[in-house]
Amino acid sequence: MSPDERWFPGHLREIGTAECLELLATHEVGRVAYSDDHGPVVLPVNYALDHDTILIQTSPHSALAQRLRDAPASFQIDDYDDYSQSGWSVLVRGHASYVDADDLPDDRARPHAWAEGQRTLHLRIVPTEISGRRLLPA
Amino acid sequence: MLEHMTTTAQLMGQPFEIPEEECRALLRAGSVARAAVSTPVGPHIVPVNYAVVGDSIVFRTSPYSVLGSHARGAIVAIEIDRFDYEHQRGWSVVARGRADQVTKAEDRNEIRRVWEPVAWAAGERNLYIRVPWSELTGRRLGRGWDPVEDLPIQGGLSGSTS
Repeated sequence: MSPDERWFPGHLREIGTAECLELLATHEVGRVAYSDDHGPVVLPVNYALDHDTILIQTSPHSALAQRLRDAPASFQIDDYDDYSQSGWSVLVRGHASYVDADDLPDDRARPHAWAEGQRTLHLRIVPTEISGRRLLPA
Repeated sequence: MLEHMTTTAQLMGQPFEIPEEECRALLRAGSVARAAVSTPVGPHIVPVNYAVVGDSIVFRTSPYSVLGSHARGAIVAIEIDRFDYEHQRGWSVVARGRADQVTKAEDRNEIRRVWEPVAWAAGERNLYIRVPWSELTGRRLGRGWDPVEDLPIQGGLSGSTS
């Protein structure tokens, strides 16, 4: 493994794609990143995994909607336990675009926002790369 | 002090924005964040172990890592958050600024004085990156939750001289 993203002392193990997808399937909030005129922007969103793509809901007037109509995006989830200094992180890098109503899965499989608001627009991030790392205690 | 901040937040009537002082307190209370950088092929998100030193976020990385390659001299967004799945709420704080490499020995020593993560193999993560934030914002997610209520009690945290 290249000496990159060493985020703490301890043992870093790569997580295979299948396990990354399992982790993505069993969580509901993650962070999306995109670039605006000033640099990178990162914010948490509710999401759903649709096959191997990330579905996000937003308002048609949001910055997210403006920036992710057709643009590179990253999506990340993690779980880290401060006490045991262990955890994992999964990163999806890919391309975001709007989703047609016809291409949406059933309601059960859609993201469900925690906040109120008119989230009538769905975005899909199609991955070009899915990677994950597990940090085991030192 | 924390109660005062809570009351102030409520009085300000901005249910979803977290005031800057609370953002600062939340940053100081944390140790893990996600650093986002832009790269030629799109944004990248990397978890980092960080400390707050003055009005900057400091983290260590390898010169060959994504952050080592792309953060220096570039705008970096550092995000921390907490999610309460049971109650469907959470909060997030983002500090954004232009990163620089901490080159001066006295600056590195100053950082080490207030923050020394567990000893690391020499040469691997010997690059200190500092992000003095020019933007510090926070938001509550879901049905509104005062994150400061839930702040774990911690003594002797990294560094603030401000």
